[in-house]
Amino acid sequence: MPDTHTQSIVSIQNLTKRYGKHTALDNLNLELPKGRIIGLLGPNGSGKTTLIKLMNALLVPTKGQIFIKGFHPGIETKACVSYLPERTYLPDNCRVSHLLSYFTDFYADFDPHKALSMLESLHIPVHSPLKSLSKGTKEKVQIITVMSRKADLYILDEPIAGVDPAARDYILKTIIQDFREDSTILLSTHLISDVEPILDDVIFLKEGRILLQSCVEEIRNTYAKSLDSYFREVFAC
Amino acid sequence: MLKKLFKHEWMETWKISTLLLAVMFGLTAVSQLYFHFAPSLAPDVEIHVGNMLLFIGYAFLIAACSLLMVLYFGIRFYKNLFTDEGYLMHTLPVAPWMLVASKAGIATLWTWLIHMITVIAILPVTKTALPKLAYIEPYEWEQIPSLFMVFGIFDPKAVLLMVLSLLVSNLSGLLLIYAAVSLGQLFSKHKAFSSIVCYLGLSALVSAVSSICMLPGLTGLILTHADDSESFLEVVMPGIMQNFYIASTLANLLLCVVLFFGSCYLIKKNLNLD
Repeated sequence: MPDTHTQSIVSIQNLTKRYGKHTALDNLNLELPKGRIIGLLGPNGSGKTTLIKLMNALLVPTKGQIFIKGFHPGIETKACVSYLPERTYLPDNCRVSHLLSYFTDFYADFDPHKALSMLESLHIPVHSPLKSLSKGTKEKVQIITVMSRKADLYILDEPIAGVDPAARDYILKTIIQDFREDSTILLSTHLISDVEPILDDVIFLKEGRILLQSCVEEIRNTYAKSLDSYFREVFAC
Repeated sequence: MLKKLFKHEWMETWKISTLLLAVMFGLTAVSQLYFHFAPSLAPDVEIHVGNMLLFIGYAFLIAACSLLMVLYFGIRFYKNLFTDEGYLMHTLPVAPWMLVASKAGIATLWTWLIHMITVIAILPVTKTALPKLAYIEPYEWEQIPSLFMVFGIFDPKAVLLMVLSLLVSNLSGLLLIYAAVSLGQLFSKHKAFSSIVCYLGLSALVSAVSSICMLPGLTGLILTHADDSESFLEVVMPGIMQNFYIASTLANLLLCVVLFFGSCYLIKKNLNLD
């Protein structure tokens, strides 16, 4: 179990989200500690993206509360949370350089030099129009802009799903290298075997409820299997 | 943050807007040149059908440019805030009202500009084209300034009121689109179609309320000036038009406030990006 004495950066209390008759999240209670890389895992429709959108003020809860650094999701939390959505959100009618100036203008913690360095490493020209980039390259640009912020909380929804294996390794390496002890990464993915080496903790979500919240090391020691194998066992169809 | 939003909104929209303005100028220049060199009509030719069709075509294309500008900003609002791009916009550390205000501000500026240029462009082309469209008797030419006096073209105060009324009317028109798009997001399916239906509904509601509010004034106008004849156009109407500009501006301002805060509320409380 995570160290309960570690201060929490996120506190979720009795969180419920309903869409009509369907309950996406059901009375969720969760604390995310600082300084950890946490995997948010679950089958399709388990409520992962709903939870992530609620944390980013892209949805309003039906019941319950979310606190990030003591604030409800809003302007204050958006300034300290770096969010990578599952979708490609880049506007087609601008260039990579304009996107960097966008992030520089709106996020005080954005480091344009780091972003430029990462773009160069991945051979992405700065003056390229975004509409000329492939889907995978756009996703790389998105990840670079998100990881170039010195945020307190990074929320990454499927960060490596749409990129090639070499780029996946680069991204995961970047996450580890740039990880600060006072920040937290919440990472949602289906590619468990790829991310398992970097995860500290894991949350299993099923039908809008928390099935498990534990250290990855504890799962390996207790069940004598990898996280990926244990996940397949728990969520076997 | 609001200044930065205005800056980026400007940077992302100036190209299309400038292109539409350039098309308008181009059309106006070509029409002005054509009608300047076209021969005037003889007294035995009542109407020149070809020139009439060309002039109507020109007016139609100018109006289309204007409409395209409004549609462009309406679609941009929808695309930028309620499609995948919304994941970028709604996670910026800014309040929802700033997102709406920045878009409404830049869109109003451009649509007001194109509407002003429409008026300024059409007047000289119309003056040049009139003698080439239909034969106008000399005494009929003398009556044209009276028509302009109704709208206060020669009165600086009336011109200022008209310009202000147009500006506020542009803003309310755009906010009506924004409110309709925001309302359309409340539906789980067919959001774009729902936005169009909401726009038609809101427009009908605004028209109905405007008509009801104008009824007492119009009735009073008819009853008071039913017996006026020659002095009506030149003396009475300019004053009435000025009052109309003031009333219209105030009514549109009120509408702007309602639509603006309504849109912000819907975005803040009911955002649900797919």
